[in-house]
Amino acid sequence: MKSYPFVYLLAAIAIASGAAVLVGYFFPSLAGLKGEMLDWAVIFTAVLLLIGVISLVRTHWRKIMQDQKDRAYSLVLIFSFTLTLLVAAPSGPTSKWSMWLYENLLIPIESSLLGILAVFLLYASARLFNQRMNIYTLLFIGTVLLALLGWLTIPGVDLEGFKDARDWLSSVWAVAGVRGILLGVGLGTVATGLRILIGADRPYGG
Amino acid sequence: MEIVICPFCGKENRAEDETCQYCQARLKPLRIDPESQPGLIGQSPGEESQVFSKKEGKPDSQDGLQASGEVTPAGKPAVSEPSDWLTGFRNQITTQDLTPGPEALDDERQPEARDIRQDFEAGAMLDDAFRSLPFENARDNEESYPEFLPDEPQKAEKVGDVAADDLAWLRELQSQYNEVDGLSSAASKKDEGWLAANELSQDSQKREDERVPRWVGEISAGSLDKQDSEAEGGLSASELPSWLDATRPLATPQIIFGMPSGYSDQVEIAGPLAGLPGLLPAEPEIALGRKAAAYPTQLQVSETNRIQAEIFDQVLQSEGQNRPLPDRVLVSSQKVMRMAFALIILFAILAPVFSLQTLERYPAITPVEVLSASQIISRIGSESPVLIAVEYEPGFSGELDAALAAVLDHLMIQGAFLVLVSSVPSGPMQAEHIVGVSNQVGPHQYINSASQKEYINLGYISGGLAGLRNFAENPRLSNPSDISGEPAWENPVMVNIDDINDFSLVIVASENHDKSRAWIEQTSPLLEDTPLIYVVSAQSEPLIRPFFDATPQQVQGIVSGVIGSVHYGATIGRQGIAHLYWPSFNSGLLAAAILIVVGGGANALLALTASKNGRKPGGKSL
Repeated sequence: MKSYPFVYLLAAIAIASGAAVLVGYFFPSLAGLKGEMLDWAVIFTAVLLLIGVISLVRTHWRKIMQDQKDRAYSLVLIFSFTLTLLVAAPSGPTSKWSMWLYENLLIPIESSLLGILAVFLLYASARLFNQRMNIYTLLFIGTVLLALLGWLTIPGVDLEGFKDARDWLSSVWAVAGVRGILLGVGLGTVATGLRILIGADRPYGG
Repeated sequence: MEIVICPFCGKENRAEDETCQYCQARLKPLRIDPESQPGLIGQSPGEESQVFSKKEGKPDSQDGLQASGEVTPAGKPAVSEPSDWLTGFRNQITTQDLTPGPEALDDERQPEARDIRQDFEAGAMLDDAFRSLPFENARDNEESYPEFLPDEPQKAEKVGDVAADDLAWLRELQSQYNEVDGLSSAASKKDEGWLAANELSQDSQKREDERVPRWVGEISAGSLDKQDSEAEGGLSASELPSWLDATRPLATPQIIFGMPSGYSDQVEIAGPLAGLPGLLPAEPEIALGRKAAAYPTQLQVSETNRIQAEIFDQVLQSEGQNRPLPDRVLVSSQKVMRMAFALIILFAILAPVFSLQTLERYPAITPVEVLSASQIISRIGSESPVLIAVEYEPGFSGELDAALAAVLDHLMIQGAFLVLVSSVPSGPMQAEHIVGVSNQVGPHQYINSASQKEYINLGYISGGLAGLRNFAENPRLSNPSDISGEPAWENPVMVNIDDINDFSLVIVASENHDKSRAWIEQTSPLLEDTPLIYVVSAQSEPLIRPFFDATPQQVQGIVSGVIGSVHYGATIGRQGIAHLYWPSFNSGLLAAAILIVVGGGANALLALTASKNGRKPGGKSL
């Protein structure tokens, strides 16, 4: 740790805040202190979001002014930000024109990106046999086909076997794997919290 | 100019040299404590007599005595006149002290011999007394004279002359010697000088030769003979007898190998190691130069190292070579294949839209998680506050709008009061959007206006996990107003809500697993009897299912994707957006499965062909 008094002050604040919230869970009489700390966290996060927006605009504005590469995208971003601000600021984010921008620009653009992603994933699955031909490739492609066919309904064709196999995969294999992931995430979260509480991990610097 | 003759090579050196400039042998003895070290190894006690003056041809010791004004008869060497008592003392030592002969063991003379031995010890004390006298010159000469020779003429005469007046008691002791030892008194009366005494001493030494080392005898005998002969002046240095000349270390240098005892006490007085004790002497065999060891100049490497070095050299050389760039293909086969895949999928999706509803068949068996969610919502009464968290991005609205709209349609039919909230920045607008979509599905119209509030949008929850926890514990404080800025908690339905458990139902709609898990972790401990239902995308459904399968359940119902929405609509007997999507969704699934099988099979065939032809797979594909 650097020998700056400010760093020690930051560590003391972080440890005291974490300890206050943690103690509030065990002692209901200290729940007020915990709620106060959570309110401060909410306010700070909102301020950080505002700072992030300002930083984003400033970065792209600098790229435009300095005539850097791909400045056209920065120009589009500045234009969209300005337009949204002008539309939403006077009447709110759920006004008629704000919702028009959202439903006719934002949703179609992002949905199109996900649609293109579906086509690329399909093509990559087909090419996977040419790139890497081994047992794992066969297992992966077989699982994908089983999941697709398990959802599929074709008139006159009984695909209940695929559906049962898909349910078995989803409820046994997938759940078993996810349970392991969740246990690992939980243990990692506890370890990270303890490290911050004892000052071993200082994401705030120092 | 004084010269010193090297005892090893016989060549002349300067008197101030410590070592021979020809053979590197030491010319001057190392400084040794005369009491602890009786003589130098490889050097006779009288070897300092080999330092001659070129002018007079006399030993330096004699010159020193004369120059210092010692009392010596004119024209006669000082060593030729030893005192009588000292001569007798020497004879006693050489004949009776440490090597008693057969005559000494005679019973009649044993008491006398015992007295003589006592007197000898007294003489040793006398000698110590002489050493303590403050005569600097005499002390200097003593240092250069070995102690084991008790009959040094110069020493005896010098000490006797100086101390004769003051030491009268010594004369008394001498007379006692003469009375006890007849042999010694007779010898003293004869006054035949050093030769007679030496003859007697040589006789006694012959008997000692069996006990003392041979070199000690040679050194003592040779040096004594030489000194005696010079003292008498009868023989010059060049006229020594052959047997005596043979004893000189000049002709037969003695090289002692190894480390003799006493070297640890020696102190180097010359050269860069001056002052250091216990050094090895600069003997000729040490001074000899040795040929330097021959080391191979060629690097010894193994065969593996050599091969690796060659490979590394080839890599370095190939770096500098230009490689031809492959020709750029404007339209590659991959781009064509991607376009073909996109067109096939697009056709499969659009075909049902244009009345090609050949695959319109809905799934029959409703999953248990969907059935559970439907049963919970069916128990929601009118004006019951239901919290709905809209936690998905606009890009997933195609899938999640269909799933959530079916649930909202059911809630609107039940007449629930909807409270919308989101921890995603675009969530509040997404919430307004999904309410509008749900209004289009059924005959109900949920309105949020000043006069009529059937739902309320609390807007954005900032703070991430802490914000979620804060909202779950105290929603009034977290979001006091709705998204339009009006007070949110003055509505009669919202008056009795203090925490998240006061809601009748909580529904979380999300495509993100982290968001879904955050809501479970932060709100489940507070939800005592309030059910929690998830509306998720198909990709997140396996990640939420463990919470539904857990005991006790942390999630009481799941509606996943378009298929879940279709199942949910089937449970309440309504067809929503999902039923509109289902034909295109179903044909798209079939097209995707066919493309994977056909395209994958073709690429696998290409890979096998390439491997048979010896080419690397992956270079060319469909």
